[in-house]
Amino acid sequence: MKVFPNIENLQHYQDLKDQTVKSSDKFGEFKRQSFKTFLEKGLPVSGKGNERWKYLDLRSLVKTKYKLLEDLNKTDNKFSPDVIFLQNAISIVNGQVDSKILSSMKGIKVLEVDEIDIGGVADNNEDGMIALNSSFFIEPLCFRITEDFNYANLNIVFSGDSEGQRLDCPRLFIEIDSGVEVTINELHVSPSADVLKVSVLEIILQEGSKVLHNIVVNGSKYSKDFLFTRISQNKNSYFKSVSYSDAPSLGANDIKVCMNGEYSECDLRGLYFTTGSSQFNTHVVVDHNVPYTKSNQFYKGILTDNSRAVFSGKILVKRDAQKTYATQKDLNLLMSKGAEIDTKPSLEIYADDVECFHGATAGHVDENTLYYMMSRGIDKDRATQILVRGFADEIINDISDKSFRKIAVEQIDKILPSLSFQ
Amino acid sequence: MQLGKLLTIENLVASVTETGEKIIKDVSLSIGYGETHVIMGPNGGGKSTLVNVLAGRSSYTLDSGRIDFESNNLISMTIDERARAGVFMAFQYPSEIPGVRPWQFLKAATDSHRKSEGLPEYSVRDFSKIYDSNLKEIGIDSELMKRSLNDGFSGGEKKRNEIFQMMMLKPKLALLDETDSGLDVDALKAVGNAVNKLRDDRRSFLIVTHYQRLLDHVKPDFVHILIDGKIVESGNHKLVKKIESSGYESFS
Repeated sequence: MKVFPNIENLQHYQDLKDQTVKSSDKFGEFKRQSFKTFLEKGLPVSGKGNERWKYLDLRSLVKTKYKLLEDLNKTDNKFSPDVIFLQNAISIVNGQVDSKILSSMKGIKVLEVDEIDIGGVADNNEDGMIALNSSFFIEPLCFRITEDFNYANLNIVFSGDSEGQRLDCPRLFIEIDSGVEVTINELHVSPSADVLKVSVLEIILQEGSKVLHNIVVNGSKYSKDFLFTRISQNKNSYFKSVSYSDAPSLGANDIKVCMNGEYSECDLRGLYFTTGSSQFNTHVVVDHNVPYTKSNQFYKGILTDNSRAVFSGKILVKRDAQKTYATQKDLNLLMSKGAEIDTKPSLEIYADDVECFHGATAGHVDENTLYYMMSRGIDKDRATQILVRGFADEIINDISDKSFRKIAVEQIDKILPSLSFQ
Repeated sequence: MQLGKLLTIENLVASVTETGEKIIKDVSLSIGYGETHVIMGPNGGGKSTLVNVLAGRSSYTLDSGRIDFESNNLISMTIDERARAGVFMAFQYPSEIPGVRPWQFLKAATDSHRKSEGLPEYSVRDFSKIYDSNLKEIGIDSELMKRSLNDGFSGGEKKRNEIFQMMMLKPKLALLDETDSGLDVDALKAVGNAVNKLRDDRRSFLIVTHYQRLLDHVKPDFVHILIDGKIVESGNHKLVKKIESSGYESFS
């Protein structure tokens, strides 16, 4: 069954496009093509036939006519997260950034337009959301990380002011030079407003490079945060992603890794913590395109109140990708009767000499464990908090950057005491 | 001055909540300060149920009877309140808790105890000192305690860890639920020594066991035989010998 995009809503984006199109835009042609794709796909709507989104209630996406905040100067830019002190920090406010900041960083080279294969890793045809970002991003950040940046941390902070009904489309394209090892921290601090943020990050790992990618999303109960991370790995490269996301009203952590070079390896981990009536979609795909590659997906969910989460993970092993080793696991802790998880691990294997494992669980806090903890004098609420923290720590402790990990830990510790577990 | 009883159980009847099956049919028992009691009996006789009822496990329902712990009505207290009042249970099957480090867990437990006694929390330094010295005494490798609590511990390591927690929390009444089963000779000795060291005229023990072996290390003041939910005989340590030689059949 074909899913028809919402016509009235598309007209709104057509108008928006007509207002914002500029002849001088160096990505003008790409954006025009992307918008055509967007018109075909529309914003995602839940329903049969739309595997990625079918378990979520996405009606609020098409109800609101989101506007672009085009001129950076228009924003009051009051918001400055206290993490800006971080070294090598890029602050993206309302989806926009002044790319001049990059020129001050040693080892980072801004790419010329003809060096940028924008959309080469993140395919517009994959999802309407990606096409939307490709149609409306203002100024993408496109750069190459060279060996002069080796072993350093790059911090990217996404924030925004609280003017609502705004569409933010941050776009990044990063190329990692051969043999370079780098940590990329991505912090999303959502404004307390109905802001639809669709972020697309493309990373190309050249031969032998290594990226530790840490993501923290501090959602707000009004924000809609959709993060798309698209990775292309060349030979002998290593990519590790650890994400922590808490409770935007609606959001997604959507990762796709293409293993395009032999002996490359990726390790994808994440924790989604949903509260209130938030909805969160975790969609992870690893494409094993060549032989001798290895991947791991390990995700966990903590769901409270009436929140809802979806995990759909896929391991695709192409015919030639012999000797693939791939694992996938999704474990969920349901903390209330009203919380709901849909978890859908899947394997699609065309090669015959591979090892693949997958599994998923969803359960409540174990009564025996609670009894054990309480028998040591710890009251039920505290025992539950310790259990939940322990469950979370298995993922959080993998955030490679210590100060960045602290942001996630503090966020969890802030939320935990405010929750009542039934 | 004569001290009163630490624990008094009167005509206790308890059943499994889910099935309604009666396990404890009529048990009366009192434990004085400083006494060590042992409960022996065949499988299914209600030994583990009895100590779990004392600790407050919710899967059992108390049908009748009363349990007084010092001046408190134990039945009206939650599991954690009982623990803070001084009841400790060394579990037969301790839970594995992923992601929770033994140190954090015991610090939280100790803090809860101190708070209810109106005492300030231990500093990390002071706590670590006590923690490390007890760990050494019970013979647990500190590397093991870097793992999650009980996660990947062998049966013997789990039991030692239970006794370690008892040493840390210094309860008034320690319930040992088959702590000796699955222990090798050295571990048995370590557990026995730890119990003996904690024995004084204020602290009491209720030990559930199948075997005489732990009792070679820990000499009990009283021995009770629990069969089919009732204490059919009580006596001193000589009763253990009688069981070893003629089994439980002569008591039923």
